[in-house]
Amino acid sequence: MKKFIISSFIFAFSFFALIFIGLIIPNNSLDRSIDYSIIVKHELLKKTTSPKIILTGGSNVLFGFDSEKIEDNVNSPVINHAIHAGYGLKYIIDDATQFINEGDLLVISPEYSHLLDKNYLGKEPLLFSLTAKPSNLKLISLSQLINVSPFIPKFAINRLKSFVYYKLKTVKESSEIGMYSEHAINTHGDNYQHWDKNESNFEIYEFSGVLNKDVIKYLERIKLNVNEKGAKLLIVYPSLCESSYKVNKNYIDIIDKELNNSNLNIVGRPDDFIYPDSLFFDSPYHLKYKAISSRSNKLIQIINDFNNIEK
Amino acid sequence: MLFNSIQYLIFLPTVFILYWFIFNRKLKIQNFLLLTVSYVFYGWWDWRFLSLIIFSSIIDFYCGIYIKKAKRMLIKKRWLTLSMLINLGFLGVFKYFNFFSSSLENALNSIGYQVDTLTLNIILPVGISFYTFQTMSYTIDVYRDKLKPTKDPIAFFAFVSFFPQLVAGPIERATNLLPQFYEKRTFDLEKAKDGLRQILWGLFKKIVIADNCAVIVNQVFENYTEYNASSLALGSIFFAFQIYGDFSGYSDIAIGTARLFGFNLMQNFAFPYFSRDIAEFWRRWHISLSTWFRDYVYIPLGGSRGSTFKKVRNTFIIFVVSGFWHGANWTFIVWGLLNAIYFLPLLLLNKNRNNTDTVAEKKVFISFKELINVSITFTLTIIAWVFFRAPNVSTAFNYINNIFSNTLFTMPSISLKPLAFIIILIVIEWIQRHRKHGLELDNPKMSRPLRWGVYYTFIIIIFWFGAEKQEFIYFQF
Repeated sequence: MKKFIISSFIFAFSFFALIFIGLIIPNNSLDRSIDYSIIVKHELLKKTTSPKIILTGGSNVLFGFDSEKIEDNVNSPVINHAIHAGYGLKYIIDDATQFINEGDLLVISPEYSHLLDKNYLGKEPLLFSLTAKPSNLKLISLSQLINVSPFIPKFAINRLKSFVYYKLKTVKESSEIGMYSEHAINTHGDNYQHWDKNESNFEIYEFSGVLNKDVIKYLERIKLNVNEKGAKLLIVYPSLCESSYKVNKNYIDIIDKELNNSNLNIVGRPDDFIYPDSLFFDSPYHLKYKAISSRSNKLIQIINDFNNIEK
Repeated sequence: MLFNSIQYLIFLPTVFILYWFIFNRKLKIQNFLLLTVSYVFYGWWDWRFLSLIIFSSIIDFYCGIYIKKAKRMLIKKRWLTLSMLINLGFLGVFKYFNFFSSSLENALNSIGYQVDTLTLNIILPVGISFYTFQTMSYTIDVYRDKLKPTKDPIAFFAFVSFFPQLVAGPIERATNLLPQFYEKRTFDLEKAKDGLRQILWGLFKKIVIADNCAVIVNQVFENYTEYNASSLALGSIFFAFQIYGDFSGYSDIAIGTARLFGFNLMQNFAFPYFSRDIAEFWRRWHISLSTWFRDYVYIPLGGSRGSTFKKVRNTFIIFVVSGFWHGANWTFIVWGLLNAIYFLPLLLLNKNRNNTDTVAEKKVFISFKELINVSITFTLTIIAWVFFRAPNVSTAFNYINNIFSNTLFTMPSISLKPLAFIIILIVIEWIQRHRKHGLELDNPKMSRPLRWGVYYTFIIIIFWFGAEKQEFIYFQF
């Protein structure tokens, strides 16, 4: 028995040690992913003076706004903080609220899937963000850790594989900036690499799961925290392509009803941000520039109206 | 609780430590621990349905005692009938009520009577078909005087709910498993090590083989009209490996887990896709269910004795009942019927026990004749699996019809990724076909670094290539 326990312990320990190394090993790739743009975004948020506007959510925000245009029309600096919906809404907002000061406006545009099941706690992409910004570990709760834990071994092994690959292979640095590269963002944090692209290549997908009321409660708590700091919080609906909207209308109606019954500031309707499929790029959430411009105009209107009411 | 979950990764070592280090003084206390953790394991899915297991256990515990006590056969029979009625009643209500109700409605509507029958909004309790069959085997064996009824409720309740095999088998016989709860278990190092290896092999089959195949199979079966014939054919092959990896993987994890606690469960799969005829396939596939039906249905009906009519009748009954056991859908009944049709020629020509040994016995490679036989058996199995997987019988027929079209010899338009894993599985199982499972090692010369290297390789493959987590298929049965 003793021999079995010791052997099992050594075996498990050596495996966990391998996983741990995979998690802490540096990323030696020459072209790091968009997850690493969090470093630049944090710098932007730190140096931007209040009152400022922070736009956040999943990639519907990252790929969905022209922040410079918004900034020019609302007379406040605008930073696009969003990167990936897979981080989970909780992590995204907890990260953004670190930079909220008096007078700021936090505009959240969650993906619909964030309100279903436990998606708001994050999935594998959260691990990418944490390796890009290890100090953000302090934001992770036990429930988030449990939710992402099944992804950890595969993630760590992939990192080890990637490390060995870049160590052994000579990869030339490319002058082109990839769509999902760390450097794909502009000085406001928007991903602008697709603004001049015209092709559409994506598949619509159906939502699955059940509405999670904990997300609404969490958002209500965040609203209180933001208000306590002397800032405001506003929720707007995400952009979505027409065909995806039709397929998922039942889900969207349920979410809409639940959000409107809450104490949150919900502005607009889901169909305000529904655009034809031809205006989407590589996902039912990622807009082309024509729709980005339209959506930015709508947000300008929303923010100006909101500010007028608040005054 | 799923075997392939983080919760189970914490649950298993915790129970192991409690079992061998804290509750190891008295057998009763150890059994009580097993009972408690088994209820926790089941309740993790839905605690409300624990009441069914407890009620079923109480009824069969007392039925066993009263069957033994009864002096007259008539009284014994009444107690047995009570046990059967309650167990089959649960199955009838929870699993088959809606099927019978809607089938009756369709039948009446088709002859012109417009009726609306009652259908219930019922959740199927996980594992109900497994534990009811297990507990029925107890009362039947007591009735047949093959087993003394137990007076130890803890041992009996733990036998009914033993967590490794509670929700998806193997369906243990009381004669094999219950006595193991009466004897003091001692830790056996070799048995425990082999148990862990079997768990690892089961996880590989489930996470790498079954879950990767499932992704493709779901796409193909849901949109079968959009795929060419070769994709449909490949989709059905992938389903054959999905269901094998899923179900035999579960059995391997169950058997391996039980071995960690000093229990021996019966082998449930013995490399069935290397079978040379359908009779051999059924001796190697879901052995615990096949032998259950053989002993408690087929043999009491007369088995293969008597007139040709009786043989044919018994064969059809056993396969149709087996199909129906899997689910309340005509697809399962057709699946059972097809297998009966496959089996019948062998039975009538007295060739059903031609292949009782292992394929390519004492040889490395398979002979040409055996290869042909294995290929034919596998093809027949795949055709039957289409009915098992399809949502309804007409879809299954259309699916098969579409396979036999002029695009059968074109390139498939689906991902071939699972093929690589299937080849690995076939090679390992071929090498190991004389053993109990794919990772059974009995070479004492194999050094620890080599053994550990094998284990690490499998673990890395599981994490690296494992597909998105899917539920075990047999949970729904």
